[in-house]
Amino acid sequence: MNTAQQSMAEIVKETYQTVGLPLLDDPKMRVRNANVFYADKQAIFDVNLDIGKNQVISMIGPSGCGKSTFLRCLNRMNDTIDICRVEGDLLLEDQDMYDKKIDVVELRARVGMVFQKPNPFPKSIYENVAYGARIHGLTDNKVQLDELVETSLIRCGLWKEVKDRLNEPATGLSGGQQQRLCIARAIAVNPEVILMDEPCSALDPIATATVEELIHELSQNFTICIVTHSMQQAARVSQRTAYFHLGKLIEVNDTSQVFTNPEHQLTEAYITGRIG
Amino acid sequence: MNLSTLLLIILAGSAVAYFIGYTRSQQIAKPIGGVRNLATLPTYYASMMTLWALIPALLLVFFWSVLDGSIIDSLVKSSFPEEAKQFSEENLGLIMSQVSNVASGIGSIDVLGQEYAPAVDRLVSLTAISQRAMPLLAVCVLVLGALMGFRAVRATNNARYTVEKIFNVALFVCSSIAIFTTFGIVFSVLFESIHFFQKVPFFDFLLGTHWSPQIAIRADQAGASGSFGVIPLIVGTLLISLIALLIAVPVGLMSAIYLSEYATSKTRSIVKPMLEILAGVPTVVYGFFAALTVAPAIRQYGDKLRDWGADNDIGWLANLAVSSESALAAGIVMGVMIIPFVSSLSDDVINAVPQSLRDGSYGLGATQSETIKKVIFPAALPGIVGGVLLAASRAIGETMIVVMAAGLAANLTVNPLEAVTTVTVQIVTLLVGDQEFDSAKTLAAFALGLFLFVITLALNVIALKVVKRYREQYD
Repeated sequence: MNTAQQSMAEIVKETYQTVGLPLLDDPKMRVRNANVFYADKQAIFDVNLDIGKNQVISMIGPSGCGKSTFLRCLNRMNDTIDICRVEGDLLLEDQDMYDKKIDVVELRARVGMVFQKPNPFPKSIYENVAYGARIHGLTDNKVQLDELVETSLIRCGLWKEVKDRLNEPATGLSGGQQQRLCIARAIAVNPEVILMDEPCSALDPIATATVEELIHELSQNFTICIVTHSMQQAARVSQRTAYFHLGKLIEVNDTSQVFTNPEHQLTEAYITGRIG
Repeated sequence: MNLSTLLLIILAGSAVAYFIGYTRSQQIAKPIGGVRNLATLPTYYASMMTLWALIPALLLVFFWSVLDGSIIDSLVKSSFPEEAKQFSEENLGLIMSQVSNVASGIGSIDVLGQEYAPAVDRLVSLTAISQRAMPLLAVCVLVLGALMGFRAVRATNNARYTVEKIFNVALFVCSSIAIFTTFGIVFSVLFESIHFFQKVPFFDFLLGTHWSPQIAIRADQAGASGSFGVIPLIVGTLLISLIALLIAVPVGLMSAIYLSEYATSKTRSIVKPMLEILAGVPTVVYGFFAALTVAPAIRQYGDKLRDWGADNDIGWLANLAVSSESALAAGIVMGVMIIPFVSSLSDDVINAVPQSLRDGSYGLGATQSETIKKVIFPAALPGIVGGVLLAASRAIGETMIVVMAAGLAANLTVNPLEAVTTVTVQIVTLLVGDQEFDSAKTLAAFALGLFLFVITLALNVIALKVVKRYREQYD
């Protein structure tokens, strides 16, 4: 660790208080005093954050700052990692997500997830979109299922491109199409929240623009949390921005506020490119 | 001097060559400013010199040992008396072996006839020359090679390329050995099979429903018709393999799923090696387990069932007959034997399914079993099929268990409670003991071998095709 990084670490240690506006009225999700551990190593420290309804919140920060870990806490994807332990209160509409009585499967149907690398199942395009609906029994017959697949693909702007080859393998699509398919697959289950973990990092600029547009449209109906490495992307798609540093939530505010007038010196250092 | 001493000398010589090469390159390096100014590192010069010394000498020894017998033979034969020149190949061979017996002091020259004395003398002298000349020549070649290598130790000579090239050739030779062996086996089996098909028509063999390879030695011998219909053997083979797969595929697959998806890493580290121990048990051991434990148990249960059927007037059950050697017993034990093939290969394939697919499925709210059923299993299916086909070719080729537990009777039946026999078992029984190699009975073994080879080859080709398709899935 060089001296510049060391001094940053000291700043983080001193400022336990998140600056900006982490809390909201009537949020979709509420996170209070969240701490996450991988075995003995603490990855997230005392995060307090509200996630607003039908808003896009982006999480930015240098690599390894815990933003992906935090995102994966929000639908308990971290449960699949044996050594991971989550403490604190994480509420979805006043319901404790980590309550023992909560059915994880049902929770993940309400809080969907899109991953960094497009991960279509090695099935047909149709079957990919129909997957969630089938396991949750969302439709009663083939006609309804067809309809659901169609509307999901239309909402992702993919329908026109794939309507003639719904039965072809999804792995044959281009990267950008695959990612939009994964988003269509997620919204076909009709979740309340969609978590996106760097959804555009494996895509070219044109596909990225399409997906960003899509995120913008989806925010009319869904609450979206997006982790991104691109500050331009955060500025383009999100209403609020949260800056993480070494597992601590440093600053949360309206996106325009964070990018034009950051309160915390670490945030400023990051968005001006001095750390990261 | 015997061969092993000679080999030791050659090895020692090339070790010396290594040392000399190393020292020489250091010597060269010193005046020109150190090792960095040599074209390559001293170890490469040393290796190059070693190879220069070692390879020609070894080649000489090899070819000498392989060829000297036949060369001496032909030279000795040329000194046979005139009348021997009209003899047939076989007779000449017989005389030759008598000559060499006499030469090594076993027989007496009187039995053979004095006219063969020059041949015997020639053999003795030629053998003596060969035995003395070979080590001498080999050492000469070794030294010459080392000298050539020594000359090549120059600051500008990039010995690395030479070593690299020789290594390349050595690797190529090793890999072609396996291929040539396969060709050799195929051709030897093929030629004997052609002999067989000259005696027995091809379609009688392929479509015949009766297998009874005994051929009458005397005309009045009873029950020795000699019919070579392969169908009962195929049916027996397929029946036993099918039973084995019915056991091995579900058990192996489920244990693979358990190990790769559910088991904690600690359980996995204990269970997986134990499962693989099954693959290390010799098939003979499985064989007597099948013959002494499983087969009698099946028979006992069968008898109990029959008595119970008789008591309760259930007609078909009362007529139940369980042979003490049954396809079922052999199939069950063989199934246990091939469980590790299925489970180990499936486990690898399931583990190769990317974690991102699991995450994707969990992220949509699927449970673990739904994820396995709907995403992981279909994604891994081609690989699993490949594993199952490999296990199937193993089951088809298995002999020991069947010999011991399923019997030798070539019954054309699909009843697993009866004794059946398989292709491999018949090959064994046709070839054990003293056999004449011109009778259809013995040659039938080669035809069966060829037949089996074609079947397992086809299975392997299918397996490879399937596995290849699987590889393309995620790329």
